[in-house]
Amino acid sequence: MKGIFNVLICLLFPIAWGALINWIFTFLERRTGRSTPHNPKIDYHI
Amino acid sequence: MNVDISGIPVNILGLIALGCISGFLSGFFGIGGGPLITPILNILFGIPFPICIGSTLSRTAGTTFSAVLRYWKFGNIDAKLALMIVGGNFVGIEIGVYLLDWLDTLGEISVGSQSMPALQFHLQWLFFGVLITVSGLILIESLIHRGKSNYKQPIGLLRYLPIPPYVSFPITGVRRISLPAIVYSALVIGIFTGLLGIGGGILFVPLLIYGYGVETHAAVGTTSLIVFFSAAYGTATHAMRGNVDLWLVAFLLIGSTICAQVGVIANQRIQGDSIRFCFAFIVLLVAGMIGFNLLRVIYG
Repeated sequence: MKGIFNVLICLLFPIAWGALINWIFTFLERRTGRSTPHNPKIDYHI
Repeated sequence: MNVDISGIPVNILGLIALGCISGFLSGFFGIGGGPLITPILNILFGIPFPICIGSTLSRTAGTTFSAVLRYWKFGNIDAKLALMIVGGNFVGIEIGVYLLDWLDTLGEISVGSQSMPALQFHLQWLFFGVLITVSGLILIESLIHRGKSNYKQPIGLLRYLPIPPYVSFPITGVRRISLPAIVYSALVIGIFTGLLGIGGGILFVPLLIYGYGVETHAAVGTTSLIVFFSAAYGTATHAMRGNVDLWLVAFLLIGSTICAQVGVIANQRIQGDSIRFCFAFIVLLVAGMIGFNLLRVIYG
């Protein structure tokens, strides 16, 4: 039972963490009206 | 002049020299040097693998911190991507350290005419496999792009994975990519970090460029932040198990700090193609050393 719980934590925690970071950054971008400063040297290929 | 590292007398000058070589490689190729130092410490100096791994991770955390500051100043770090990756990466490190503990419990195995710790035998095979794969991939990549001036940025294979939820990274130009693809690939690399002491530089840069389609400068900068977090967490996890030797870290850092600058200067004078070829050759050399040691053990 403990093993199954550990596997579930290993599978779900990364997704939950990623979603949380995405939410925080989206919130900050909406709040400030811009994303973090762009580097002019980077070639945006899309 | 010897220093006692977990009961084994190790020559101080030898450690400083190894630190110097690894520092030169770090400056020259822009990598942490973990995959090269860890097996050398074990094979040439006879230091147990867990101590080599914990101490190498601690050294990597120290050396990458200055790189993070430099890349942050240049604006080459995507903090959102790095922070998103570390969640999965930390879980991977825990799994890797757990596997290392498990291998340690296997005790001794008989190989050929002698017996040796199962942990040492299995980790040497793993290192051999990882180094051969990495050098092979770099050689193939160098041969494909050799002499081509119109280098085209790869789109990123993982972008085609249709598994929601999706996220975007405006700084690195990645508009839409599956979140599970990011976090689970980072988890797999984390297992290697916890198990082998590889900070992840030689694994994360190709993943970011060819997997996510991140621009090269941003990939290198973002990787430095990921490796810093990953090495710091790996150090903490290994330190709790008594796997970090501060003397070993100190002597390696003395050598690498001095010689990293020499590596950076040498890097400026040599073309990119040749740098990648040299790197593949050195990785192959270390893999050859491990392979030779394994053959020596097996056939006595």
